[in-house]
Amino acid sequence: MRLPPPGLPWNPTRWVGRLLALSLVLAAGSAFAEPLRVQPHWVPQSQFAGFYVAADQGWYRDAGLDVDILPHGPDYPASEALARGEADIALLYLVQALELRDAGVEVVNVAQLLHDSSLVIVSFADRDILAPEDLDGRRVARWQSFRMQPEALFLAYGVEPEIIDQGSGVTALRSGAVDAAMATRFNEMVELYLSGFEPEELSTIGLEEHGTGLAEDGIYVLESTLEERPEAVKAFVAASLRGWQHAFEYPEQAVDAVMQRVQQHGEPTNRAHQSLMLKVLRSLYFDSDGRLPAPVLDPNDYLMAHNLMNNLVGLEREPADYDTFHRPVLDARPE
Amino acid sequence: MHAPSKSLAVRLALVTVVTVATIFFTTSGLLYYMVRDIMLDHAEHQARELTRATAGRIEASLNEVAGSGRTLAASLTQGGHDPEAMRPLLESITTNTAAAQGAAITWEPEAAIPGQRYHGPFVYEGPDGELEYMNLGGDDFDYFTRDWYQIPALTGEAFWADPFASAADPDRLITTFSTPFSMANGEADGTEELGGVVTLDVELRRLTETVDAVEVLDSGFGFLLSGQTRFISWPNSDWIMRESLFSLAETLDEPELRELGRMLQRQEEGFSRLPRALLDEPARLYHVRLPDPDWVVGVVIPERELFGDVLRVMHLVLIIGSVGFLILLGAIIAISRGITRPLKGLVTSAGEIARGNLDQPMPPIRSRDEIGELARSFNDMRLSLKDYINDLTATTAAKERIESELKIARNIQMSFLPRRLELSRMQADVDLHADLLPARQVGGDLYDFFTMQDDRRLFFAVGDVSDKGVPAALFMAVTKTLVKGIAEQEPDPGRILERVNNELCLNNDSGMFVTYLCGILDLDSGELVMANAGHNPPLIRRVDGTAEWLKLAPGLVLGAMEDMPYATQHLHLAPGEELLLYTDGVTEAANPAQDLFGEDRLIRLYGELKGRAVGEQTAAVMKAVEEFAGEADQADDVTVLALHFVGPAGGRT
Repeated sequence: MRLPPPGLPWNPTRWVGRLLALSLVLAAGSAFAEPLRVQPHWVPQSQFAGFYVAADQGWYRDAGLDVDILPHGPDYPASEALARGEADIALLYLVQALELRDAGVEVVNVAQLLHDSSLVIVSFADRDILAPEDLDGRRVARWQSFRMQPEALFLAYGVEPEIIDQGSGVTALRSGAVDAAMATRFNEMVELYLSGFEPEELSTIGLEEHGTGLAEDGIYVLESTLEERPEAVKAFVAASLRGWQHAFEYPEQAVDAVMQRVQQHGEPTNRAHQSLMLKVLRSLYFDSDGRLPAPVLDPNDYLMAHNLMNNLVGLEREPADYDTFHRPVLDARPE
Repeated sequence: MHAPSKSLAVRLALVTVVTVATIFFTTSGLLYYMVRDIMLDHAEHQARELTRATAGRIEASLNEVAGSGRTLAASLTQGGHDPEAMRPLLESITTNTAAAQGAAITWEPEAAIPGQRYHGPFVYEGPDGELEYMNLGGDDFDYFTRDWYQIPALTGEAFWADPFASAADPDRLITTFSTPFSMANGEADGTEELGGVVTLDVELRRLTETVDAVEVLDSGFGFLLSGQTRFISWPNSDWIMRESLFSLAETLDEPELRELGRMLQRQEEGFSRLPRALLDEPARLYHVRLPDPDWVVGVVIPERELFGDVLRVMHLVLIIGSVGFLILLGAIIAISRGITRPLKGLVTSAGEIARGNLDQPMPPIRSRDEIGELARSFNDMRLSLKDYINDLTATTAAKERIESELKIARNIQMSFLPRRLELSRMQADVDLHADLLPARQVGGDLYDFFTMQDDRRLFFAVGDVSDKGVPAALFMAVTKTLVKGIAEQEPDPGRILERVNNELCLNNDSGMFVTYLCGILDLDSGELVMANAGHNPPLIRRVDGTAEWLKLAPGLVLGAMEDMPYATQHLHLAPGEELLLYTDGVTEAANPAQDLFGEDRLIRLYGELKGRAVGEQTAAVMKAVEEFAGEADQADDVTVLALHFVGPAGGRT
């Protein structure tokens, strides 16, 4: 307990100063901050660490934004929230954005975060699935929402597995119900490791390595939002990238931020899982020089995604031009 | 005298205590580990029984649920149920299956009601305990991809889902048993296809209560882990359903935990060490893996409790032992002091004795042990030494007296020997010089010379008594006296020796004898008569200077046998001729290498002494013998007599 210095129980000048400071903070927090609702596309986890760090560090507030990260999870699909206008900003996979666009929702990509695919088809080393060819006739689970990439793989390698709709995790694989399943390197692969499987006991077929990987996490807004509030969007992207850089540089702090949200949300995950996830994400996000690349979507990635979509599920509409779809608010690498 | 650096008492005590302590601690250590092993075996046995019993109770509970599920599935496979009127059956199952808190039947798409993709009647216990009902499935709940549906549907086998927290109450842990059922596919061949999946919900509280109720000693506890080693029941509630052994292995950076996890996943049953990271103290763990679901039931026993009794006993043993050592140390020092204290007295006495004080009385030692004996022996030694020294003092005094008497005897003996020729005439016609060096104080050699009564003739002789010392001196004195007495009456050397021999043989009990060479020289004519009784032949130097041995007829030594004849030999000395008489002390003088002086050396030496005065000649021979003998002891008397015949007065110029 700190006691006031003897003889100075009341110092009017100091109190006036404090009141002034308080009013300034309040003004920055409410009167001048621009509200922004952000919808991540999955439950709280390290996949969104950069945003949590930016929020906790106060970088959104410093940029004049009052960012509200909406509750998220399987019951709150980000694409729908964006389409319905319940969120100003959504985090989406490139494919999800293209699907929205094809459904007539004019979303635009303002920053591409994850340039490569993190998806793999995983099996156990003793099940003889070491290459795409080995999948022929096997029971393979794949997520409905990420069906294009594995199915493009099957097509490319001329294999016809028995395709099963995959639930959320890899329990079906573990229980032996399927021979192989889809997994992200940063989540399900970590989950398998934390279930006691050593990397050498698993076999993985990376989609990126086999040419059917697509760019993943990006920041999306409706075209109208970008036109009406370009500064806010730009400020959000800049603060978020700063948050990501910081998250990778100070992973303990980032995992603290993640775990705080995990506990609020009551997720049955643990620190080990989130730490390992962040570690994998770092290797996916970072360039070889240990920094985030410019948040720009590669035109070839965009083209390839369209082609895959057209070939595998068909397109309702003429796809938008690359320049219409991708409106990078920052085109340089974050400092 | 200085004090020893480490006293015997301390050394003895140290060695004894260290030896005994080593034996004691080694034995205690071995005993501890043996008892520990026994305790461990015992604990393993107890833990095994307890764990198996707990696992049995959990299995029984889960088997009841599985049984109800399988019965329902079999009944559905039989057919004859109205999918829209399953609620009463589900309610009955939920009520009658003690471990189940809910039951559902979920059909394949369109399998229950044509045109309806989902049909999933579900009865469950509401928060107030009342049974409630709902129909599962819908666009927002696509149960076909849920593990509990998909896995049994794909495998055709029952499936236990991993425990999960209830959405309504995170503290309620739930697991689901699901098993597929078939139904006729409507074709004439009677084949069947998958109809759907029956599920029963089990709240884990009753199972975890079973595990939580396990009590081992005071702080041992039971635990339950899922197949992925997630904590279902564990004292640290923060970990429940959040952490697994694998996640803790990462977070705490304890690879041991990952090894434990993989061991539990692979080993059916076992007793092992619990890593410190889990309990902050060493502990043992017994586990049994359930067959289905593949959960792990186990008990943990802290070693602190397991070995607590042994440790307490060992502590007591160590304390008693340590106190015992101190007592032992004291006792040994006391005993050793008892031994060494009298020894110290002895040491002091010995020092006094060494300084020659034999009158110092021994310290009183009453003990009847070896030390007492030593002290008594020591005292005896002191007394004997004292007596001996007293004797020695007396003996030394006696010896000194004898020596002084011997000195007197020598003086007397020497005084027997003539010093110089009395007559001036003789001094003019002959030069004679004799010298005697006795081996001991009183020698056995003799020489003699004197002028006969007619004053014209010179008697001279050299002899050697067979012994040394006073008896020899006396024998010599007798011989000399006899010779002188007889020579006056009968101036013939052979006769003189015959008579002296007979006199000496009378009453010669000591067996002594004497060699004797004598001659009588007529100073006018140079006539020389000589007789020899076993003595060395003399040397003669002719006028031309050549030295040669004078051959004399041999005779027996005097005093050995009566009535022996001694030949008198007649010779003639020309003026200027010289004689050298000597005893065997000259020729038999030995050097340290035991070489003898020898006759050759003597004759060569004599040859070299030509022209020298007789005194110089004897001195030169004496000196040569002395130099030859060097360091060697003089074994015999040495006597030399040199004579130079000048000739009658006319011969002198």
